[in-house]
Amino acid sequence: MPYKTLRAAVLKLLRLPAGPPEPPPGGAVVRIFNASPKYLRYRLLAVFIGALAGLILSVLLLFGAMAEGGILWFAFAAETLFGALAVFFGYFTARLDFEMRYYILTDRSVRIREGVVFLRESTLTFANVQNLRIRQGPLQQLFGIADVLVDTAGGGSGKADSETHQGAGAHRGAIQGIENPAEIRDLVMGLLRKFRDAGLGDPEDHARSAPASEEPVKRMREILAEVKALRLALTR
Amino acid sequence: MKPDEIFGISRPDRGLLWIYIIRCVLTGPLLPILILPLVFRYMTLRYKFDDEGIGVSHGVLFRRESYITYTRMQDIHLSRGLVERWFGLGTVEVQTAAGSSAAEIRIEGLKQFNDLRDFLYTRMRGVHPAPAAARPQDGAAAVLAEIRDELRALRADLEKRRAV
Repeated sequence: MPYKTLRAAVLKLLRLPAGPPEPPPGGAVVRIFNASPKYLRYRLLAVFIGALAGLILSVLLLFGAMAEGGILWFAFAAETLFGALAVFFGYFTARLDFEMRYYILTDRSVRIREGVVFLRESTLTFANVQNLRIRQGPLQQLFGIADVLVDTAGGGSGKADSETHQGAGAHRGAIQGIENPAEIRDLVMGLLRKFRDAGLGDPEDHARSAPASEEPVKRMREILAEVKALRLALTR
Repeated sequence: MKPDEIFGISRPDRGLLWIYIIRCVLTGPLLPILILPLVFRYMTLRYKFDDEGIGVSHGVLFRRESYITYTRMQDIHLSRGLVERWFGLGTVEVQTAAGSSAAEIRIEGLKQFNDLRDFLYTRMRGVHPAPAAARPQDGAAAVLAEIRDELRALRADLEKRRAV
């Protein structure tokens, strides 16, 4: 299959690691999953629209060239060639981006790998997670996919999220393009519950939240009774 | 993980200089303006790993030094651009809860980025989730029991003397 050989060559050229990223050390891996194939279709929609626009321009130029000739033939040839190349690259990067996208859930953290030219692996530990959100735009609704956003403590610059959410601040992990956002959210919620102090707070705070023992109170009551009796004995 | 190996890191790999140069060349006419600060940055970039945290310093005219303790780290990002991957290097970005979306510390130009990331992962915030509830009160209970016994003995003694 030509795609496979091309893919292998590109992976080698771009030094992209094939297969899922290493899970964080220690702790159990709960789940490793990818974006839904519908996410690929969603990403390809933009390529398709671009291709359509290019095709229309090509046809217009062709008509123009048939009427006028000359320089327009050259413009038609150049436009068609560049358009075809752009569509090819668009398709290829979208597909590669989809295939290189990995999400790993462990009992302590979530790791998100994304990117083709610029590879990025984010590891967000649950101890720092502030909130979980599901986001779904109208187009995503049409395709039946959604994003689960994992926000950790700390602000970010007010960078507007682009359609692909790549402008999202670094205090956020985006599990993009999955079909079962609610399930993933609940799964993460369940893991989060183990971290009572999730969010900000002192790492040394745990002692305070330890369940109070009943024994000291009991002993103190006994002492109180004893002291009362002692006073009675003394003042008799 | 071999902490000693991580503690031994103090300088970025030589490939980082090449990465800087390639980045500058790609900008074209801006090359002479951009290259000097980056070369100085490479030459003065120092990392310091200790038991408590990481220090990063660089700069000739304007010196910058930042230090982050492991217990305050909350997100670890590993980013590898195309050129970095060609050189087999990676950048580990560490974030605290401070109010900026940029990473507080960027540890650039390391070959051991994976080891470093694992090393940080085992020391960062949230390593020890809900530890087995420590009960300092248990010791207190024992002391209270002792006080009670002492008081009881005192009263018994007193009553005995009264009776005499």
